[in-house]
Amino acid sequence: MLETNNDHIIQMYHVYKQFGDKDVIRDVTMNIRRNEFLFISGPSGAGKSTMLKLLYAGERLSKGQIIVDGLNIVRMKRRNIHRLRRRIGIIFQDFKLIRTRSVYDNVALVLEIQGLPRRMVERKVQAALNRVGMSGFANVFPPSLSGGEQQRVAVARAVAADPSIIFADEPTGSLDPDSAAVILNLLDDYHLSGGTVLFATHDISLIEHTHRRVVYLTDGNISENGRPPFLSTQYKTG
Amino acid sequence: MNYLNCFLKGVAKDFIATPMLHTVTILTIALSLLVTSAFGLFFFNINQVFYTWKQGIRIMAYVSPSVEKVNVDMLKNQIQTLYGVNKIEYISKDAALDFMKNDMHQADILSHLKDNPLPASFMIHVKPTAKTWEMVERLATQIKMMPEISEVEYGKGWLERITSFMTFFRITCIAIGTLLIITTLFVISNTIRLVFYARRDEIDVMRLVGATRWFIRIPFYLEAIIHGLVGGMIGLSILYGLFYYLTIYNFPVWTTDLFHPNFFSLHVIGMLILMSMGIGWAGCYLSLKQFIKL
Repeated sequence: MLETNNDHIIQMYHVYKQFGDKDVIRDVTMNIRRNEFLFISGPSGAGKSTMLKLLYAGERLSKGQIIVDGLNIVRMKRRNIHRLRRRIGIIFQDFKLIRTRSVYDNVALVLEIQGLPRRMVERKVQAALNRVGMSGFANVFPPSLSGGEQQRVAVARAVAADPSIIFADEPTGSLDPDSAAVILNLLDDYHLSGGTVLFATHDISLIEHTHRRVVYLTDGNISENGRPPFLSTQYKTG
Repeated sequence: MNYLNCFLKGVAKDFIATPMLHTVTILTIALSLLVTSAFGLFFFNINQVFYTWKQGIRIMAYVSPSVEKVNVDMLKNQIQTLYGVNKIEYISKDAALDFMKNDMHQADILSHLKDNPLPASFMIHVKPTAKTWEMVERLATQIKMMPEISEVEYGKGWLERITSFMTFFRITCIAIGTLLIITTLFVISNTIRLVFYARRDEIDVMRLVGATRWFIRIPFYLEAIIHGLVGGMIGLSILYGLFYYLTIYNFPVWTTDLFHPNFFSLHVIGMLILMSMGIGWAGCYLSLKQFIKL
């Protein structure tokens, strides 16, 4: 049985995920330290997104144990998933902003669902928008923003409630290099302020020269776990 | 309070975003309630007439001519003790003859008779209770079994016909009301489903950022209850308009000693609107329970 460890904000122990007969995640065991910035990489279909989904309970794992910020995902009932989701922030490649709500309302949503008073919601939304440089766009609706701007709003939404972890699933996948760099910097800032970041990407240019730990997945299994440059040969051949 | 503001804001936005869908739902509820309560109102007023009529129901018990001397007081007391008897009057042979001569203007015919052929009788007024028909029949049977009584009359045919009509009308009202309520439930359920599908992306995002099931569901319930409230108010307003037009404004002649049409009391109006809101809630419950797994 996996025991909660205060140094590790995420613990995965012999985790499997099957879709039909196919193992999408195979026997993954790893720990992620509190205040770590971890890249999860690998080719398309390697299981990066599935791994993140298992961590934020978007999918149920088939076998194994996962503890996220002290919460045992396996034992967690469906109706209690919101408790986990309120401790984390999630950023997606396709932003997942609500098109019919303004930038302000999109960011405010995470605070409103927690029942925070209106003034506190206003203060926190303003702070989050300032943090990502979008304070002038509070009343704008997402469809009239560029991809980079929408992703900055998504980052603001993810950090607004001061989560302990951010899961970023290919957050730069649909952005130009400049916008991608902005998003990476924003997540860096969040990390420097004490947060933990799991950044899933297949973009080699983002991790080639990083000094951070990279977990490289191949066919649902961890094939490399460490700091570059050891990965470069993998990428060049893969 | 913060949650309530948030829910109401969401509901308002949804009404603005899909006005047609909500309008159709509200009008369907209004129409259903209008038809059901129109039947109810008609039944309510007919029932008033029936009640007034029932107060006048009497049983005539004729004293057997073979009985030489009847102890009127004893027989009267005996009948008075029977269940359902409200008031009892004794009509002697002479009083019956006088009534026929004077009130029925049959003096010429009756003047040729040597003896009084009319029997003495008891006029028994029945208590106007809900089960009058059964009670009158039972009472009549009990009186007829008394050896001093030769015959009993109580307008059996009329009573049967009117009671059958009222029963049939009541069942029809309930059946139509039930059918309309079921139809309305389906309409509301379908509307909520459509709204849900239209907002599916939004709901997915809400789930991802930690919204509870109830945080997602409550706005749908609020919408359905508002549908019920507004639909109920519209339906009853139209009904009152029609009632006013038909009974007070246009045809005041309908008002007679026997029939004075009344609209529902405020208490009943409140109950009907609550019922309408309840139908909205139930339609939403069905939709969220059956089609949408949150």
